Amino acid sequence: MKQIWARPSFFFKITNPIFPGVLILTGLLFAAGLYTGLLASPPDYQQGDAMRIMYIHVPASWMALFVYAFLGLMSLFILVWRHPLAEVLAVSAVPIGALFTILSLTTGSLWGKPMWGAYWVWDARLTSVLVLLFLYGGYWALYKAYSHPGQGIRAASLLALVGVINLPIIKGSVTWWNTLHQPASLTKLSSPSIHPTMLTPLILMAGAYFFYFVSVLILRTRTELNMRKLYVWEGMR
Amino acid sequence: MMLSSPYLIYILAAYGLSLIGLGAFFAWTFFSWKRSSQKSQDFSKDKLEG
Repeated sequence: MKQIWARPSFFFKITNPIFPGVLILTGLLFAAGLYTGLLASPPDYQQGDAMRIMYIHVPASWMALFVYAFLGLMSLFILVWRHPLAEVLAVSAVPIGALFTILSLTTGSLWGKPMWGAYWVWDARLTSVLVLLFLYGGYWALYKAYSHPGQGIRAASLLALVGVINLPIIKGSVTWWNTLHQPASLTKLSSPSIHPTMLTPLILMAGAYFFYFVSVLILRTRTELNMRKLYVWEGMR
Repeated sequence: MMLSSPYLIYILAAYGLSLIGLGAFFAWTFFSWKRSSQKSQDFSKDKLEG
């Protein structure tokens, strides 16, 4: 039973029927998130309309962390159980996580300029997110340093697992150190400190970013599986 | 009104960069997948015929 879900055929069987639905859901959530974020929600009483940048900055940051946690989990499967599908999923997720991290940093800079007066400050939160981008880059460089796709994966997985330590550092950076970056507005243990009219676009955009990740991960995993099949066939010629 | 906001340029830049980035990445991923599927099918045909 354990081997069944490690097979690439299982991935195709599961994702083929759900992919169109995921794609439609992503489009709908983006449309609703953009409408509520740009038009329906009110400006913030302190930040004015600059607050609207948060509706794309915060989900990008959440996803940057989520994808890295996913990468850490897949790396554990690779190192402990040598899971073949986990390997393909990890490699497919890395560029998506890096994209979310770049978007988080750029949109954060574009919010920081009018609010803080600077595009960049060496604040604990910003620096730890930059380290996250370097971890994604390091993983990719290490993986690609080997000519065979399967060879670099163990070294890259080890790096990914060590890098997981950066996730609680990013999360705690705003409370452990005195930073310019504001603390979290949404936590599990308390009620949200933002109004529902502002919470709605944030949740919608977070959903859009999540399903974007799922749809792109499905496509990238299929591409990677096709490329590996071709690699094996070429080797047999 | 957002259009008269002094932050309009930052909002447009942030949303523009995000949407272009996500859109371009999706398009690149989609065409890479299409190309790999085509190659895979062509190779299967070659193997069957050869």
